[in-house]
Order: sequence, then structure tokens, then C-alpha cells
Amino acid sequence: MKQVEPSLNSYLSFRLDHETFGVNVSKVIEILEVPHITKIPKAPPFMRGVINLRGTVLPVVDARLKLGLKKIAGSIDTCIIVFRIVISTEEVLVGALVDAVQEVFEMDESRLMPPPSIGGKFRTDFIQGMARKEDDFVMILDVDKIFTSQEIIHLHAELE
Amino acid sequence: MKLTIKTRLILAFTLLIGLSGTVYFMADKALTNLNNRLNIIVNSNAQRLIYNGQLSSDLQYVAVRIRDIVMSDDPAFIEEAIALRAQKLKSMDKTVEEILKLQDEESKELTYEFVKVMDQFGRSHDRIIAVKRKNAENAREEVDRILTEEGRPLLAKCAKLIEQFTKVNQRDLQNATQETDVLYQETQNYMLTIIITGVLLAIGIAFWIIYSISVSISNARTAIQAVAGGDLTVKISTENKDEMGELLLHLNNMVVRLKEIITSVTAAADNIASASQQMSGSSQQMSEGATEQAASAEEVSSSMEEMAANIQQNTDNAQQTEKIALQAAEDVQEGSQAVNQTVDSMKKIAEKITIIGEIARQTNLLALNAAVEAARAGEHGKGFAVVAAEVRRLAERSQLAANEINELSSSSVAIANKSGKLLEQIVPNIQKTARLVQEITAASLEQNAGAEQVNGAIQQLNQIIQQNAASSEEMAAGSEELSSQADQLKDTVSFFNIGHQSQSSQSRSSNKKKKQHIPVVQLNGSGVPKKATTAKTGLQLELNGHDSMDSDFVRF
Repeated sequence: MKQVEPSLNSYLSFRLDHETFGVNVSKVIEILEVPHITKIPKAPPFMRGVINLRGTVLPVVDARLKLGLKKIAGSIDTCIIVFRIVISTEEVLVGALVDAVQEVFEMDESRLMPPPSIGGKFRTDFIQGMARKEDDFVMILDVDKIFTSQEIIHLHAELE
Repeated sequence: MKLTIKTRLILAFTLLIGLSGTVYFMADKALTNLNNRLNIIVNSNAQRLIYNGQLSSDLQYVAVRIRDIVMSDDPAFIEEAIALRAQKLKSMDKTVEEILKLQDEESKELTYEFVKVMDQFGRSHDRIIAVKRKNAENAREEVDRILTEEGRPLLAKCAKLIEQFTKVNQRDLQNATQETDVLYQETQNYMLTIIITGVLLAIGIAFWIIYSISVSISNARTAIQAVAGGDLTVKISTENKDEMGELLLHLNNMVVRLKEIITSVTAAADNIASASQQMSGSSQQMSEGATEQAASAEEVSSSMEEMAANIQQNTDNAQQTEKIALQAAEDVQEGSQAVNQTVDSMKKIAEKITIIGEIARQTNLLALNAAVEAARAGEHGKGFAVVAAEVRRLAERSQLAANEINELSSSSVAIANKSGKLLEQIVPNIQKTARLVQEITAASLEQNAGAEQVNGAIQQLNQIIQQNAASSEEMAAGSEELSSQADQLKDTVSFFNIGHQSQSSQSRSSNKKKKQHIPVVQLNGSGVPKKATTAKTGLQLELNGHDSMDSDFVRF
């Protein structure tokens, strides 16, 4: 797989539990409606299962659980964002369940504000920065850091 | 001392009867005395005289027989004479015994002497008889001697003794006659005295009784004549305490009562006159009132007829309302069905809109994917990114519109559902309304009947009121008649003179005061004229008096 344009200025924003998060478009493959998710036995709770993505098996992670939020039932706006993440120089596709996808917006990287050093709801190491959009803040997530857990690797290993 | 006529008569007659009794008693006593005397004369003196006569004749008989004995020579004849002599002597002994039973002391001595002489006389004869029986030669001389020497003096002595008897007896008879004469004279004197006294007493008592009775009767006659002439002022006084006195007292009481009664009758007649005049006025007022009542009843009757018409109209209206309500119920049911259809249509629209929303969402997703692709294409994808953003905006707008439509249709569905339910609720209400209106109709019909009944009753009332009016007019006439009758009664009663006619009005009013028991309120203070107290009717205030209740108040 080619490793180009790691720093595009476009971001895809989505919503998780009233908060708006953003992610760089270069990490996003596509956005899907939620199809039937095949559950995997003995998987950790944040692993919702796998789906069939045009013939390939795509693991689906519940972003709410992954980010320490409460699990809720899916709505009509619930979508799966297919991310391309790099784990130790290996690119893998991971689907993440989000509450709603909002829009694609452009922003200079210089306008990104550093994440808060302490406090907040989340661990800050996977927050790339805070983007100010109108009155709200959009937390730009570093997808690679979120999904670097061993589980996914093992999962992929098991799946492959 | 109260001596009634009865007592007096009883006393007088008792006195007279007592006197008669006394007379009878005395006459009886005198007659008994006389009778005793007569008995004594007849049984004792006369008997003695008879016995004396008998003795005298027997003596003669005996003397004759002795002479026969002396004279005769025939022994048979002598014996016969002896027997006759002995027989006669025995009867003489009996006569002497009888005489001894009747004799008093003086006669008894004479008798005993006579018996002694007779004994000697007998013995001399016995000697003669003995001599004769010997029939000696010198018997003749012997006999003559005895006869002349002894017999003749003894005979003379006996005759003398008998004569003495007779004299004693004659003396006794004369004595007895004298005694009876004295007794007769005494008795006659006594009786004359008593009878004269009794006649005098009877005349005195008769005069006393007749006088007392006639005086009282004269008083009573005068009084009764006065009363018969209508004068009740007559004063009847009496000091007698007998029956006539009581009679006069009762007569006096009667006159007093009559006076009171006449007074009260006069007062009552006055009262009746005034009351009947009032009654006349009242009944005329009543008559007028009844006429007004009749007019009012007519008005009420016409009002009732109007009301009946109104009620009829109400009934018609209620029937129409019932029809309308039933029609409305049907219409509302149709409306409810229409609303249900609308709801169904709305639901279909919502489904369709959901499809549109789905399409819009998918379009949005596609647009986002396109935007992502365009962004990743960098500078080359810029135009495409703009198009994608535009498409996404359209998709969002159509989704928003679809959502709005969805919301609107769901709210419309809710509203339509609500209105459907309301309409369904309305249906029974309207049906209930129809039923109620039916009841109203029935009630109106009943009301109509009731109003007709009331109307009939009012007609009857009207008739009764007219009758009442007639009756009260009759009553007025009757009370005027009563008034005139009361006047006539007054005229009739005025025949009696009760002594204070001049004050009659005052006394009448005072009587009326008593009769009507008009309460007299006595208050302290003044200012009410005295005349008010003589008012015929109403409350009488007497403010000048003092009574026991005054002590309960404090004077200022």
C-alpha cells in the first residue's frame, strides 16, 4: 500500500456522545452504513465483531467503548468509518462504530491547538490537537494511537 | 233568734194539741172518777139496799111461817112450814154473808148484831117448834108466851136493825151524790179555764203569724209589681229571717242579677252592633278583594295559557333538537371515519417520507464518501469536493425537510387520532344529548298536562272566588241585619230601668274593657291623653299608673 499525503488539511468530523471528534481524511477509507455485524466469541467488549466489506473481513470496534464511553444502542445515524491504520509499519483496515458522521472540513495544521496537558475525559496521548470550529471544540484524534492495542493485532492475526 | 213560719206553726199547733190533750186528760180523769163513784153506788150501796129489802121480806116470811106453825094443828102442814122456815133461814144466812162482803165497818157492827138477834130469834122459834111437836096440852099457852115474850121483841129488834141499815145506806148514797157533784164542778172549772186560755193563745199566735206573713208578701208584691213595670232600681229590704225573709232576699238577688244581666246584655248588644258594623265593612273589603282575586286569577289563567303555548313550543323545539342531535351523531360518526382514513393516509405519507429520509441519508453518506475521496485526491479533487459538499448539503436539507414532514405528519397523526377519539367521544355525548332531549320532550308534555291542570284549577279557583265574593256580600248584608237586630235588642232591653242609663256608654266601654281584655300597658311618665284609655279598640297605654314592675326599673 502506498504511504502518501500523511498530512492532508482535510478532516472528517463525527460525533460521539455529544462530543465532536475529527480525524484526518487521509486515514479514512470510506463511510458505511451499519450492515449485519458478525459477533466473535470470546472477543473483548469493544470488539463488536466483523463485517463483510466487499469480500474482505473487516473488524469493527465500538469507538464509544474504546474511548471509555457508555455503550448505547445503535440509531439510524450510526455509521461505520473504515480507517486505515498503521501498526508497526503494517497497514490494516479497521471499522469504527460512531454515533454520526458530520462533515468534511478543511483546516490548516497550524491552527490546531495542542491538547490539554491534564484533565479531560480522555487520555491525551491519542489526541492530536483541538480544533476550534465555531463555538465548539473538535478533538482531532490520532487514529493510529487509538487502535495500536495488541488486541487488534491479535485479532488481525487470528483473522488472517 | 230565727223563728221560721214553719217553726211558728208547729209551735202553735203543738201548743193547741197539748192543750186539747190536757183537756182530754182531765176530762178522762174526772169521768173515770165519776164512773168509779157510780160503780161504788151501784155495786155497794144499791146492792146493800136490795139485800136489806130481801132480809126484811125474808124476816116477814119467817115470822109468817112461825105464826102458821103456831096457829095450825095439822102436823103435816106444820112440818111443811118448818121446812119452808129452815129453807128461808138458810137463804137469809147467805144474804147476810153477801152483805158482810159489802159492808163497811159501821154496817158490819150492825150486821153482827142483827145476826146475834136473829140467832136468839131462831132459838125462840126452835123452842116453839119443839113445843108444838110435843103437842102437849099447855102447848098453846107455852107457844103464845114464847111468842109474845120472846119472839115479838126480837122481831121488832130485827126490824129496827134493818131500818137502821137502810138509813145508813141512804146516808152513804147522799154522801156519794154530793162528792160527785163537787167533782163535776171542779172538772168543769178546770176545763173552762184551759179552753179559754187555749183559744186566747191560738188567736194571739194566729195574729202574729198572719201579720208577719202579710207584711212580707206585701213587700214582695210591691217589688214584683215594680219589676213587672221594668223598674230594676227597686230596693227590697227586710229584717225578717223566716221563709218570707229568704224569699225577699232571693227576690232582691234576682233583681240584682237581672240588673247585671240587663247591663251586660246592653253592653253585648252594643258590642254586637259595632262588631257587626266592622264585619260589614270587612266583608265588603273581602268582597272587593275577592273581585280583585278573580281578576288576578283570570290574569294567571291567561298567563298559564301562554305558558302552555310556550311549553308546546319547547316540546316542538326539543323534538327538532332531538332529530338534529341524532343527525349530528351520524355526521360525527362519518367525520370520525373520515378522520381515521386521514390518519391512515398520514401514516402512509409518513412511510413514504421515511423512504425519502432514508434516501437522503444514504445520499448524505455517499456525498461524505465522495468528499472524503475528493479530499484525498488533494488539489485535483477540489472541484469534486465542492460538488460533493453541495450534494451533501442538499441531502441534509432534504433529510431535514423529510424529518420535518415526518414530525409534522406524526403530530398530525396524533392530532387526527385525538380528534378521532374526541369525535368518538362526542358520539355518545350527542346520543346522550338526544336522549336527554327526548326526556325534555316528555317532561314538556307532562308540563303541558300540568299546566292544563293548573289552568283548570285556576278556573275552579275563579269560580270559588266569585262564590266567596257573593258570600261576603251576603255576609255584609247579614251583619247589617245583625246590627239592626242588636239595635232592636237594645230598644227591647231599654224597657228595663237599671238606674244609670246616663252613664251607660261609660259603663259599656268599661264592660267592653273587661270583656275584651285589652292589655293595659302602664308606663311611667305622661303625655298620653286620658281619652286614649277609653278607646274602643287597640292597645291601651296607661302611663301614669304605678305597678309592681316599676320596681324593676331605675327612674331617671
